[in-house]
Amino acid sequence: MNENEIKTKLQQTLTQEFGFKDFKPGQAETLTSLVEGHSTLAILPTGTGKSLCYQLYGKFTHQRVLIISPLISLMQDQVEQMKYSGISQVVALTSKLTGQERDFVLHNLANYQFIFASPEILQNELIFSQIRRLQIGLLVVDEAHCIAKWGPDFRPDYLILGKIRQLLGQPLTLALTATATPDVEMAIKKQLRFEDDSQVIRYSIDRPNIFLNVEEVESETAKNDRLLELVTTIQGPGLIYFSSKKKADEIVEFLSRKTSLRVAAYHADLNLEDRFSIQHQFIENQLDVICATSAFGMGVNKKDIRYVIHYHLPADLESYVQEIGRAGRDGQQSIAILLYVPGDESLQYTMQIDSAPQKNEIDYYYHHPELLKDLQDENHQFLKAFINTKISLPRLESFFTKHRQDKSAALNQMIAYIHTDQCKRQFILDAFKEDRTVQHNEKCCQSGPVDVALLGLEKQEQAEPRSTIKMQNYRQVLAELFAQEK
Amino acid sequence: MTDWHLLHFFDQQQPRKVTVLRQILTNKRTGSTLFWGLRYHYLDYLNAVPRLDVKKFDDAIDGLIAQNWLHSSAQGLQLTSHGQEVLATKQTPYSFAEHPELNQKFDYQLWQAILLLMIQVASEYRYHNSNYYVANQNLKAQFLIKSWLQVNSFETLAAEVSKCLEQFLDQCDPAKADLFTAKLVGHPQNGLSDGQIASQLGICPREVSWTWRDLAFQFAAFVQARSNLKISQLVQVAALPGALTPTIQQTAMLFNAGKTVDQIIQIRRLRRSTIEEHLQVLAIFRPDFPYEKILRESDLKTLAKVYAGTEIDQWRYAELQQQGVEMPFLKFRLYAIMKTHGEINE
Repeated sequence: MNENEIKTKLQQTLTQEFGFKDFKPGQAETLTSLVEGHSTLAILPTGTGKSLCYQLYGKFTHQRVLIISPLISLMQDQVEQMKYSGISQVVALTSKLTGQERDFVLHNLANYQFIFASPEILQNELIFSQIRRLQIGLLVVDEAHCIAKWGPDFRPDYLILGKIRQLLGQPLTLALTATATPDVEMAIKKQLRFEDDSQVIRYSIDRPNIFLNVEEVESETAKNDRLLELVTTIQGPGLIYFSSKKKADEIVEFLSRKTSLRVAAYHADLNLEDRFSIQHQFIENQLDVICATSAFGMGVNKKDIRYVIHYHLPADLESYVQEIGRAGRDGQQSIAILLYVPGDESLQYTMQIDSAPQKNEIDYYYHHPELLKDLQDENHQFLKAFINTKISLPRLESFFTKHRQDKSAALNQMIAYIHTDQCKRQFILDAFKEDRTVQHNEKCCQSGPVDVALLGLEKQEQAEPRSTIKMQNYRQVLAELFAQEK
Repeated sequence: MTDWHLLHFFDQQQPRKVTVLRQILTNKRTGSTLFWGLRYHYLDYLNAVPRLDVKKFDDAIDGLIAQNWLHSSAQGLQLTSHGQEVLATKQTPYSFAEHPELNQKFDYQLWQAILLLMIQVASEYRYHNSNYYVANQNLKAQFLIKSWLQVNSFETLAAEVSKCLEQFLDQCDPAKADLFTAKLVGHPQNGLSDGQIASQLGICPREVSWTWRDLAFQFAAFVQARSNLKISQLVQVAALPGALTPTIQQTAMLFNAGKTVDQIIQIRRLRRSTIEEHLQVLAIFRPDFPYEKILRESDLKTLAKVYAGTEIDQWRYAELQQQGVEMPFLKFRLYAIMKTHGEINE
C-alpha cells in the first residue's frame, strides 16, 4: 500500500471501529509511520488520544498489542475504557491480580489482543515466558519519558525495557509520551534500542485552549477562601489536585459545607467500587468537583473539564503539564489555576527528603535485598527495582545522589514558573526546549487574580436545579434498576 | 478497623489475648487459636478481615490502651468501664455485622464481584443495553457469569435477581436495605460511595462498608437456601468449606464410624498431632461431639479434681504433670472445650 492508501484505510477504520470523523493532531502520522513498519516515538500533548494510536493499530492489523505502562490505576482505567468501546479482548497484567486471576489470565493469554502489563510484572519469569510465546504485533511503551534517568519521573523498571524488547524479538514499537525534551527523546530511542529508520512524531505540548494562571495568596486560610470563591464563580466541572489524600478529604468536607456544589474525593483510599462510582458520577455530570491526588486525576476521562486547580504545587513542571492537561479536552476554553502560598514548596521538599533513601539505608538494603520483599511503599519499591538491575553499589549511591539533585532542580523549576513575570506559556515551552515564540494575548496567561468572565468561564445560572446525590428507598432503586413499575 | 470498634471484642471481666483476635480475624485456624477463639466468643469473626493491616491493628490497640479504654495485664486486655461507656455511646445499628459468621461461608472478594456484576448485567439487559462500563474487573467473576449465561438466559438472570433482591430486602431493616441498594450499579445508576452514604446517615464510611458486606453475605445465604433457583449456582462458586475443611471432615467421618485415633492415623497416614488437632476443631464446632469416645469416666474424674474451683482460662496442662498425672494433651483440651460448651449453654 502506498501512503495515501494507508491513510484512507486508517480513516475508514477510525470511522467504522471508533465512530470518529477525524484524527486528532499526530494520530494519523503516528499510525502511518507504524503501518509502514517504523518503530515510532510519538510526543503528543495531553488530550490528543495517544491510546487510540495503538487501539486502532490493533484493529487495523488484527495483531496483538502489548502495552507497558507504569501506573496500575491508569491501566485499569484504560482496560475499562476499551471494554466500554467494545474491545473485549483486553486485560491488565498487574500485581493487583489475585493468584486465581493471574492463573486464569495466563491460561487464556492467547485469547487477548490487547495486553497491558507493568514493567515489574514482566520481570516475573513465568509471566514473561508466557508472553514470549505470543506473536506481538506492536509493543507500546506508555509514559516513555519515565526512561530518562535524570528525570524526576524516572522509573528503574523502565531500564529493562530495551532488554525486554530484544527478548521479544525487536517487535515494532510505539513509545508514547506527552513531554520529552530532545535529550529525553534520545534517551528513549537509545534505551529501547530503536532502529535507524525509527521515526519521531512530535507535536507541541502547548494546549492553547487552557489559560494558565498562578495566584499567590497569604496563607492557607486565604487559599481556602480563594478556592471557595473560584469554585463558586467558574463554570464547572472542575478538578482540584492535592499532594495529600488527607487534604483532599478536608477540602471536600469544606466545599460541601460551604456551597451547594456536589463534591467528592478521588484517591487511593477509595476502594475499587467507590472509584468506579465517583468517576462515573463525574462523567455523567452528577458531580461538580473532584478533589484528587495526581495518579488518580490522570485516570479521569472527562472531556469537558473546564478548570483544573492545583491546591498544592506539583513536584515538577512535567507533572504540572500532564495534570492541567485534563482540562478542556473538548477543545473549548478552560483554565488552569495554581494557588500558591509562599512556603508551599516545603511540602514537596519534605516529600523529597522522605522519599530519598539515605546512604546507610541504600547500603543496608543492597546487602539484604530480601528484606525489601514485603516493603510496599514507593521508595523501597524504587530501591528494589534498581537493585534488580544488578547495578554496583557505588553506582547506585551515585545515582540516588544525582536523583535527589535532579528532583530538587525540577522543583526549583516549578517554583521559578510560579514566580516568573514572563509569559507562563513561553516559560513552559522554553523548559521543554520547544523552539517557538508564543503570541501572548489576554487568553494566554496571567499571574494574580483572573477575571474569568473575560474568558467566558463565569458560572452560568442553571436552567434546572442540579440533582444532588441522595440515597433512595430500596424499592425505588430496584424498580429503576430492573425497569419495573414503582 | 476504626479504633473504638475494636472495644467490641473485649470484656470487662475476662482478660483476652489480642494475638488471638488478630489470628481469628485473619483466619489462622490452629487448634490453640480456635480454642481461645471459643473461650473469647470470637469464632463468629473467623476470616472477617483476611487482609488485616497488622501494624495499623496493633497501633489501634495501643491507642485504646493509651486512652484507658482497655486495660493491659499479663493475662491479656480487658475493657475498662470508660471503654464500656465509649462503646455504648458510639455504637450505631451499623457498627457491627448481624451475621459475622458468614465470613467463613463465602469468599467475599469473589461473591462481591459476582453480585455486583450479576445485578449490573441483569439491569442493562432489562434496558436492552449491551454497551456499558463494567462495574467490577474481577476476571473470575466475569468468566463465571459469562459461562452461566451460556447455559441460562439473560431473562432468567434478570427475573431471579430482581425477585430475590426484593424478597430479601423486604425482610431487612428498611434503612439497611436502602444502604444496600445505594451501592448497586446498573443502567440508570452508578452507585454511591461509602463516603457519600456515610455523610447522609451520619456514620463513618467503614460502617457503610461493613453493613454492605454483612447484607451481601446474608443475600448469598438467602439465595443459597433456594437451590431451585439457577442463580444459586453463582452463589455456590463463592462458597467456602467453613471451619470444617475437607481434611477435617474426612477425619470426622472415620471418627464417627468408630475408628480410634491410632486407627485414623494409620488410615490417613497423617501425624498424630494433625489428627488430634482435627478432633479439637471438631469438638469446638460441634457441640454434640462424642467426648466419651476419648474421655473415659476416670479421665473426667481426674480432670475435675485437678481443675476444681479454677476458671477454665486459668487451666494449664502443666498442672496435670505437676500433680503426677500422665494424660495426653488432647484429653486436657477436649475437657476444656466440653466445659466451655457447657458454660455457653448455661
